[in-house]
Amino acid sequence: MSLFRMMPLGIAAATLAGAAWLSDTARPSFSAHAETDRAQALLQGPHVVGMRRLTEAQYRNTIADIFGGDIRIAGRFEPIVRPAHQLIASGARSAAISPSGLEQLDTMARDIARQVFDASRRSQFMACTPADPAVVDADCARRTLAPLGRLLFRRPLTEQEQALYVRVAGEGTGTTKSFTKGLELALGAMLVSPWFLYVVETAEPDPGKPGALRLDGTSRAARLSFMLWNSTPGTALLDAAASGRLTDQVQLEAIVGRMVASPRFEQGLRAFFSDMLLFEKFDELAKDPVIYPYFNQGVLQALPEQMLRTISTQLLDGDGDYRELFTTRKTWMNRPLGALYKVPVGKSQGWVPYEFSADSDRSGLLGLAGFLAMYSHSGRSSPTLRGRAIRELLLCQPVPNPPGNVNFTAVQDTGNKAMPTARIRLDAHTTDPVCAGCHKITDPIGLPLERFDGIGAFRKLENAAPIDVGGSFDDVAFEGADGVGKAIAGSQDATMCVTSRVLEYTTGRPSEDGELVEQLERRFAADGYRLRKLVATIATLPQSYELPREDLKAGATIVATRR
Amino acid sequence: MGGYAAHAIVALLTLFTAAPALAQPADFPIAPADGSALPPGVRVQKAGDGRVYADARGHVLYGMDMRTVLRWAPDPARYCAEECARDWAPLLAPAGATPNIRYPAGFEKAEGAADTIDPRKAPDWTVIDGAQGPQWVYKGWHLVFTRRGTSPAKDGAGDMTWNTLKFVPHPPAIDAPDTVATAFFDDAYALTDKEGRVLFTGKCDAACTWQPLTAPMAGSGLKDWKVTLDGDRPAWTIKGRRIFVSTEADPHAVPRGARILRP
Amino acid sequence: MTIRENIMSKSRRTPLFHAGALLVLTAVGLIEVVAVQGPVEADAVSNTLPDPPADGVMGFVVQDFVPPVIQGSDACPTGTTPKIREAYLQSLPPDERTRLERKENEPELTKLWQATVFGADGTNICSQPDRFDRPLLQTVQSSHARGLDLNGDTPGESCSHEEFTAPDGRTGIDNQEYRVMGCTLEWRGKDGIGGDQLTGTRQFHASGEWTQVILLRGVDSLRHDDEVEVIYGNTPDRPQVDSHGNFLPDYSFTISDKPPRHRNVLRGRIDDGVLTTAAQDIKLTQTWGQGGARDIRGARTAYDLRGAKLRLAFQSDGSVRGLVGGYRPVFDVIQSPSIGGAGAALAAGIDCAGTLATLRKYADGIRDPRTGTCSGVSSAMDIRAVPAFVNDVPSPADGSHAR
Repeated sequence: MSLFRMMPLGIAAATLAGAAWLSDTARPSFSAHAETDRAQALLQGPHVVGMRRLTEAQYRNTIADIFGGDIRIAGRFEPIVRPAHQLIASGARSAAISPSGLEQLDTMARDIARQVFDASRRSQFMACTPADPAVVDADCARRTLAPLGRLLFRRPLTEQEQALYVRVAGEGTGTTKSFTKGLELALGAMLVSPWFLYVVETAEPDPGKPGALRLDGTSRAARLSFMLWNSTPGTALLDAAASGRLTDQVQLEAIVGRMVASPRFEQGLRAFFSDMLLFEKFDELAKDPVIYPYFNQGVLQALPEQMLRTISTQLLDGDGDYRELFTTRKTWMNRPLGALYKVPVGKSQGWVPYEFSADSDRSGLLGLAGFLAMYSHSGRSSPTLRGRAIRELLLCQPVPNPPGNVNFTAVQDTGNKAMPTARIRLDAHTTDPVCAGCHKITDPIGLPLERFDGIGAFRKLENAAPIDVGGSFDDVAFEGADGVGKAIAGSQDATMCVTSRVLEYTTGRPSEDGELVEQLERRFAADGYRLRKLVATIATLPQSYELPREDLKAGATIVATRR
Repeated sequence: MGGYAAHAIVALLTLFTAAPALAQPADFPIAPADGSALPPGVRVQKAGDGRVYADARGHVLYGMDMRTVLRWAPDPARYCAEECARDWAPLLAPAGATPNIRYPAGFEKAEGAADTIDPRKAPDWTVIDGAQGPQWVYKGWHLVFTRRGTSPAKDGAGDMTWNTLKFVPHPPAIDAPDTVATAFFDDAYALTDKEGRVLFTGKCDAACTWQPLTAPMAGSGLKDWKVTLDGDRPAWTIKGRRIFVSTEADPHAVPRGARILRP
Repeated sequence: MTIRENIMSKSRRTPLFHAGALLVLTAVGLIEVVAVQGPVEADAVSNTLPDPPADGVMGFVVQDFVPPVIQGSDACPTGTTPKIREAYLQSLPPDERTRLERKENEPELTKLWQATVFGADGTNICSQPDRFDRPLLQTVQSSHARGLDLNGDTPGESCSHEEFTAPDGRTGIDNQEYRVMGCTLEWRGKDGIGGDQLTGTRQFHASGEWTQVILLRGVDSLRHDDEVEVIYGNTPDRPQVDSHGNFLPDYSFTISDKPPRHRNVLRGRIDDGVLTTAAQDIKLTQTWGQGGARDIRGARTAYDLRGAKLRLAFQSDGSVRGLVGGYRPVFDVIQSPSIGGAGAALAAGIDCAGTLATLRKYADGIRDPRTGTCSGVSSAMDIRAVPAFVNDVPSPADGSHAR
């Protein structure tokens, strides 16, 4: 690799290392190659109090918003690790980037920069035309790069940063004899900067609480935009931040009100539920094609989309009650799914609204094939996995892992004629009291879903034996998936759970303030369990912008000052 | 089963890359003109809802799809002699014109012979060695004739052998962002997005649900096309009017009050 | 130019030709290994039938659409129809035949039999079969064939021919296409194996190119119903298959709304669990010959079945099995090898001219009332169709686009 190619990566590495050290969160496993002193300078500024890595979706949405949806992004993103029983949004706070991950991001960055400054697009993104296209024009470079930097870093570039990227552009121009190639190089460097790859949270003294800190305007702009629209803040929001409107409670509420009323809120809502419902698991979902011939690539792609469309329709179209998400029969269909559900689909391409019949036993999210297939094994359904998922994802009730020495032979033997149904096999398995404890928590809400097989297709029989779909929750007995849906819809644990998840999603930290969650849940109830209102409430909640005490104690907050 | 040795033939035929079905037959979409110069005397005239090529006298030009007469003539370019020639007059190339295309013989290399143009890649107008001398061919396959006498032929006559030469203009060059394309309908081009959905302007009321054509936030615009940052996301405007994109594939299914953008 | 020179000049111009031939042979070899479960016992009526749907609407997608060949040696006692090479050898005096069959004379034999494929002015027996005078093919000798009685209703509109008896005892079966083609290797395959056609055509039906759907309306009973509307058409939608290549039931399909569009509306009735339709012309997509330097006719060939009828038996698993029969213009039977041209004759050994002549001799339908001659052969295809949701498009899309 030539020095020319190394330079932007070196800046990124150095800045990342510096930032990581300073914020004491991210721990990149590489050492800075160069420019360390400069990286330190970059972090001179307001109090950096946290860094949250962009998710792949946020990265893609950001590039599309800033440079247009026609920019191709090809490459592999390192996943953000989900901490146990938490959101990826919380994992993003401690997500590092490995050297190979940074290499990938660097390749993507160069490719994006090349497209932005190619002959067909560059006139849109260059603020000026250099006198000589083969010679560097520092003023033109600055006028082009500074506005791009503001959008990419979600704050104005400092003087030093401007000088740095103009210098990169200049050196690139010198080597290539092309001014636009130089700009390309500078843009590529910005795109691997931690200021782009991470949402860097900075704080200011809280005027209402002497000695305490609160998130400043630019950090609020980024938080609101990524939380509510899952993309980077636009100029309007950045302007609002610069003029102090985001730290004014009345103006903040007005802005958030507009943002949750926008059609763009759907993208934010989808991102939240993808995180809450562990949609990253769809990436690894596989089924035995001999047992489940209907499970193909088209179905796999449609499963999460059907769940998200169902969520959007229930929660946004007409602002429906969150609890009805577990009882609604309204959903969406496309052709691959139509065959799995055995229902007609009129359009060859795309999605059509669909309402399950009253006798379908398809009730809300838990009756959708996405949920049912995800919490099954590759060749059989699993009442235990389904019950556990309901407990953990929808009720926020962690279920312990099975002990290491369990004998699963009985439950796995699906061909055993003597034990034709999952209920019978589980009964045999749970004679062991070590197992019975947990299965009591999961199975009574998983077994009622047994009329849906390992990919969520309906069945009346298993191994020619009728399926008993009796179940219970909180000592109330019921039948089938309709029964489970009603039980979850009626449980305060479900509304409490989603409230705490929205709060966690907002701050990037699991909430430990039970009283606050309860208070928010009461407000949620008073608002008719309208999720849009809950999100707006939490997005404008002053406490969510306050810094937790432990951050201050750790001494990691006042890490640097940016001039 | 007409598929005597079905798979064998298919295997043979799929050795070659499939070519898009070009063109003139009444039962296929019409490919636009390539913008090259018309043969001397040839012009375009209205015909029903669309336009057709005609000769200098205004007689409609027909294409004889050479692919449909191979059974009767090993060189389909010379098929129209005797009885056929009594009904059809060839559009002859100027005297001395050298043929530059020929009907491919047998299982020829996909690129065609070196000395002639591959009909699948032919420009609009080429010259072939016809039954009565060098004769014009349209889009590689359609030997050009006019009808003798006064009675027109039915479009697609002779099991899709004879088809009027329908004219669709060459797509216009547009000064527009990369995300904009064009589509031809109602006898004119309109601007579309890359998925072919039409773009339009118009007055959208307060509770507007029209979908704006999104623009890059960092973009400064392109000639008449400017980026507006009013609203939730950056959107394209043209001469100050916001541009919307249809949500429907059918170009006619635009909302009431919409004005379709034409280049 | 002599015939040999003609061949030489041909091969100089066609460098890809031998590769093509090789590929055909490979494909034939492969298909023999893959035994596909065909629509055997297709007419059998099931004793246990599902209840009729509440709305009287039933849809199907056609999985198998293949010539109904009765296996066994009585149909073709002397084996399958000789290929051009074998036919050439058989035409020689015994001594000369013996000489040419020697291994060292193979190049000479190849030149000689291949020369019979070509005629004057660049013609060949498959592209211009009418220009060649070739011996007739050997025909099916057995009195059994599967098919339908096509001329029972209109006896005066047919040309004289022998009729078959179906394996289930139905008499008056018209299937002259089978009589002519039934001994060819491509139709017969090897005994006990479904034949090459089944695999070949199923691929077309799985690709959305030929895919056919059947929609029934007004079904009150799967046993007896005096009036059922039958729509038999094509769809551009692709069926999904399981790991054995069988079509999966319950997918949705939409009848083609773009030209060339085939949507046949038929009048049907159900008797004893068997749906039959009144005679009517049926057209269905049969795409041949896209690709290749010639791009011959492309998407415009069709199954053109005149005076056609369906006979489908409902099955306990919800599928239907049976036949569609009708008269086909004789040339349609050799449309595919004719498009293949010299390649079909040289690589697959198909004698298009001899086949066409035999078809003409046995033509029994599409009778010209003026001359009394017939230009079509009675024909039948085995059908197996699995349940599907079929969306009808009564009028094509370009109509609905009109302002």
